[in-house]
Amino acid sequence: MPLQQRLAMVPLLLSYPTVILSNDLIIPVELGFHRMLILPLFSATTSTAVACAFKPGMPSQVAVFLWAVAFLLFELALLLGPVQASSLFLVIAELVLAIDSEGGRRSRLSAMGRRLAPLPLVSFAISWVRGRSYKALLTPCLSYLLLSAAVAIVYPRATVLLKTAMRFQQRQEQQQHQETFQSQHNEAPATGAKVRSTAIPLAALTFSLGLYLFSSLQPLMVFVFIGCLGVFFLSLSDAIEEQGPNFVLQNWIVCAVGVLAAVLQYLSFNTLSASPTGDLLTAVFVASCELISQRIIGSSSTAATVSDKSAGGQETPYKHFHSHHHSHAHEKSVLSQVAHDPGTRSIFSFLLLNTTFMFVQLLYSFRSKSLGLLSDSLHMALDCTSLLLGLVAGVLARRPPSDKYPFGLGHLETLAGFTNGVLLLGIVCGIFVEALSRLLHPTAVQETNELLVVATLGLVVNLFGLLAFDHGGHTEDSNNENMRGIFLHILADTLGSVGVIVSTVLIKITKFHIFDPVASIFIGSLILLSAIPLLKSTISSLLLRLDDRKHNLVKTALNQISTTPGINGYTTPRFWPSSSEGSVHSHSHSHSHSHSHSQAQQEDCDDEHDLHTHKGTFTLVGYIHIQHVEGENSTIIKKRVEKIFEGVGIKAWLQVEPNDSQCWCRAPSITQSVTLQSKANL
Amino acid sequence: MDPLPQSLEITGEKHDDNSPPSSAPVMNSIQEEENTIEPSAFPQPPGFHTPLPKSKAVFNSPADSTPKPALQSPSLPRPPHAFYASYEGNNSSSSLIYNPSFTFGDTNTSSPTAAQAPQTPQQQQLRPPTSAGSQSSATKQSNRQSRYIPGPKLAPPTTRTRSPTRSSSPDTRVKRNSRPSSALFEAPFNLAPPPSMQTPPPSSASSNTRAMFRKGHRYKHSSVSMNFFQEPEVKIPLNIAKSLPIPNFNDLTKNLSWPRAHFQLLLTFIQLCMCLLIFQLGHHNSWSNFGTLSHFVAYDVIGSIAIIFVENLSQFEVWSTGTITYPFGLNRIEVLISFSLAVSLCFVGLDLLFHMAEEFIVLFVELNHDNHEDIAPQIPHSHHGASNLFSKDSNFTLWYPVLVFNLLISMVSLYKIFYANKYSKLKTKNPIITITYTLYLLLYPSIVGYFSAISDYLAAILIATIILFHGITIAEWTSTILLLGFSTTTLPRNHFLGDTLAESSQQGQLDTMIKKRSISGPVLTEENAVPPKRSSSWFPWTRSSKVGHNNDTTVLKSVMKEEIEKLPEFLAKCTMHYDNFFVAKVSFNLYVVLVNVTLRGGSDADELNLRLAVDKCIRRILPNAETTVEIDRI
Repeated sequence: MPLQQRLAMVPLLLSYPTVILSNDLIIPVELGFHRMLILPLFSATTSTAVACAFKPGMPSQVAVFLWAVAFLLFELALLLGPVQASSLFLVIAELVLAIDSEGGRRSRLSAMGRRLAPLPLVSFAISWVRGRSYKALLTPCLSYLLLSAAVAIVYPRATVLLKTAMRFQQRQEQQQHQETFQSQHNEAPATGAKVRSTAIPLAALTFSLGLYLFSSLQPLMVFVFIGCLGVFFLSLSDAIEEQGPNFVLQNWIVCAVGVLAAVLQYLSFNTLSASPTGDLLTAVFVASCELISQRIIGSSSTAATVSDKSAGGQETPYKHFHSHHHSHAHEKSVLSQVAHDPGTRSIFSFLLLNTTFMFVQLLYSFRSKSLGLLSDSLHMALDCTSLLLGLVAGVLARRPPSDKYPFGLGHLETLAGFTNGVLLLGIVCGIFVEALSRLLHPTAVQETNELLVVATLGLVVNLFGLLAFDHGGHTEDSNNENMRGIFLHILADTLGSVGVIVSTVLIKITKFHIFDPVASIFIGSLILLSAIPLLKSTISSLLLRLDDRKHNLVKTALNQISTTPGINGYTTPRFWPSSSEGSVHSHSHSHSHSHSHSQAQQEDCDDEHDLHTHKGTFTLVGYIHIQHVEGENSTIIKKRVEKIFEGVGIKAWLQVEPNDSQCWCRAPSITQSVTLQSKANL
Repeated sequence: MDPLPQSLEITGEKHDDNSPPSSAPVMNSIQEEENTIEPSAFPQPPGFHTPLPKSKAVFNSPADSTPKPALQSPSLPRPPHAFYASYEGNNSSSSLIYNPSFTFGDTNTSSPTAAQAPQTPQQQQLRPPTSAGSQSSATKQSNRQSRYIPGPKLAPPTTRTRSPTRSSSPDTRVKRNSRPSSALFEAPFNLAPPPSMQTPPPSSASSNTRAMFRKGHRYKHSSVSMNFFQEPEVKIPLNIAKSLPIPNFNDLTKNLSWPRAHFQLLLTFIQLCMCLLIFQLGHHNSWSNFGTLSHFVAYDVIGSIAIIFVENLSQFEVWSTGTITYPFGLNRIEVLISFSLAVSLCFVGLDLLFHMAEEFIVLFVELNHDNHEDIAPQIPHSHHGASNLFSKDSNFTLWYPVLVFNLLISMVSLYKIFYANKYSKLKTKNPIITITYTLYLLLYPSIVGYFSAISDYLAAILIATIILFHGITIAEWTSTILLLGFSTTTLPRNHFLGDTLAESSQQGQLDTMIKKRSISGPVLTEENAVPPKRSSSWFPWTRSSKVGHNNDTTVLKSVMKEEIEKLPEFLAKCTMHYDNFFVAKVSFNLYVVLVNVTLRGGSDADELNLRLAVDKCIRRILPNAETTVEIDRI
């Protein structure tokens, strides 16, 4: 598996346990037994609502099914604890995926039972260690009963649903080119989806309100939960569309999830389970899950080679509606465009990772009441915003020209780079101000340990980002200012983390608190130094500055024009770098007829036209007014000039006018007035 | 700002042998675009470029060729002496500033090379044998040219002897003389000037001769005889400045307009001191409000500096003159600065909001667990000290005076800097925010008893929201201009529906227009079809984005097209495609309109009339438009 895909998995793997854990924290444990029922209900409703929000065209069967699965998951999480629940659920998902196609219902169930047999034993052992009473055994017993019941009931429905969804999808794919059919077909689900996408969130909202009123719901946790759910679904759909639904069938994935969940749980509760033996047994549980999943993968890979790959509509239940979304691909949203663009994909997954990490930090900061973490996570939110800005700009820049942007949005990327540069400047100013005030009023840095942990984690995440960048579209277009801005942003964050680590270590060693502001000033100047070239280049291209090569191009063209017989002069030659070819393509009509000339043209002017390799790409766009001698044929003049511009690769609008005619470009009054208008404050 | 080295390289070649020894203040100009509006009379018919002794005399006296005030824009009072001196690397290209009283570099260090415009060999080769210019029309021309042409202050020509013996080839001369000279309406860049123009351009003539003077290439095309050697058939100097020097920091500081800019700078400096004072005060007494206020003041300082900078820069020629390097001049700097200020405004607003969120979260945590002693003091911008603010602080006597003084300063800066900027149109008028917040702080002590806990939150969140909204609005608008979009923000509303259309059935007409448009334009069809469904989603970015969510542009463009098609000159034989009709805004006050019309048949007069009518029509809707009407005749 290429590194890029592996990177894309990271946010998914991180957000999955976070969702489960934050779900656990929404309602405090004191509530008692009601919690077991209310909380999963709430969580399932919320997650369905979030899913609906992300995929508006979801059929209602899928929504119900999704709800059921989410309920099961969260119930399991409550009964067994996050670590066990997350790995167990993942294994079951793999099982469903792997052995779906073979055998009848009973055989499938028995196969699952066989495979999963060791797990309940470990679970029982864990709860025995924890409770040392028969009552404690009740929860795993209950959970496995629930699980088997759910598998028995839901599982056949899942296959049915999968089939219908596949049929649905196929039908849509057939009709994709028939737009009229498509719209009719979409009508029914669309209205249904509309109802759902208002109803379900409403339900979730009332649910949460009720919970807040009647019990002590933690709104912050709900916020974290919803945010993580969003990231989870996004990265899930991303991963599915990238690697197909079978991406779950990978080695070590269960292990990774289990370990992450354990780490998260340890962070928020400071314990894993009650005792060291419990910890050990949990580890055993995760390990056995991993073993089972490896066996499943081993068996399924042989089966997968036999069975048709394209019939792999077998998906974990709440995934197939994502692939159903495939059919809507022709009217993608900006976000999905970002996710699917090969150039920005890896950066997008880094963005997801960053967001997840932000939520993790937020969660932990609520638990530990640490302010450093809190402000750091908010800082990360700003980072994510600017990353998203850059990515969206990158996609929007490929939009075709419209009425509002007649020359296309090609400069948008430059603009985004500029914006990122300005934001970097703002951040640097903030750092300097803070550092100066620290220098003037030295304050002792407390909680150095915590700071160290946070900074290290941030460093790791940002290193992931830099890695993603190296394997992203960064290498081939180094002149892309948007990407450069994003890169600088990530780099600045990385440097910030390094600076904090170094200064904290130094403070710990030397006890001099001066290192903190010094380090921040140093890092601030580094960021500044890297931002200034970016700003310079973006400014010059936003001012429509022509570089030397283009300048010479224009000069060549103008010289040729001035030597053309019959032309008296020209005014207002204004040419600017074309941002995209789109606008020019739509306007290539005037050059079609002069195509035959262009070959002869190229023979006699053989200088520096190599950049104009193929027709249709223009490096410059602009307009010029040509004055011709009285009595000349303006059409011929126009053709000549067109030929010249075509030869050097300039798209020009030509206004050919008799020398003594009137035009704003020569009329003194108008020119003056326009000039003065820029002077006067109108 | 540094003079851009690239632009210097283009014209950077120097000819040291023919530099006049004069140390008079001279201006470097770009030779290609020299339009040679030299005042000296030159009784030669145009097109006849043999230098006369008289012109030679002119050349030899650089004092005579000092710039005439002819080119000066009437709007700006200028002293008659203009200094265009070389300054470091700047001298190789033309040093032109719009206002001649402004200087580039050290005025008294005009190097000898500065006196002559350097040329690349290629340009030399292309040098026209003669160029037009007339004393009589100098003033008029200068007015016209002030937009595109740096001006007449050409360097005194070289004093080296030229060989007057060679004239242009007979062909050329014949051709030239055959050209009808139109005295009625002569363009500034005419090759063949009307007979009324009496002055030959001395300096350009000198440069022409330079081309003849070269010895190396004399036989380059012909092995037969030099009689058949034809001068390269280049007559037209480039009529546009290739590049104008970008004023650097020294130029800017030297050209501050005396009382006004200095006063503004002083004001800004006071503001800066104020900002630091407030920050210190807030830090000392842990008045978090003052910290916020100091941020606002700092932001005002940045805005003031930007305005002074732009106002100063706009005095230079390069500001409004299109060159090849900067097709629309540096005008766009203004837009760019507005945009970046708006972005940083958004940043400040967002930062403030996040701080509020942070405190809010902390508040929540405190409500849930009663342990706020250990967490509250750690918050950087915490407002928790508010309750015991006034009881313990002896410094509270400073509260009102500082605030009142700050209010005063902000007011003055608002009216003297932000509202008084004649030239720049920067769109940040944010001392208003500072003033609002200061007023709130003035009230703060009196309301602190009642609901101090929430009033701070409310005020901060309100301010942050206003800032954010304001910033986003400006950023959206300016980014449209930066992206060469059709920004309709500043246009009066009646352009959309009102006076340009016929009174009857306007709405219906418009509807049909839009419908028609949506049939013809595939882009719009999609956009029209998509939104109703998409709007159901909660996430605004899943909608089809900002492209075209503003229908104003489409409407106005349709109106313009309709107007053009209704013109009587727009005959039945004319067709015009919507997709070949481009409207873009390139700076705060300049639209660019590119129209493509196909004319079937028709005479030259038809074409001319059509062009004029279209131009007029567009100008009625967009007064500051540069229209280019491309007419294809079939």
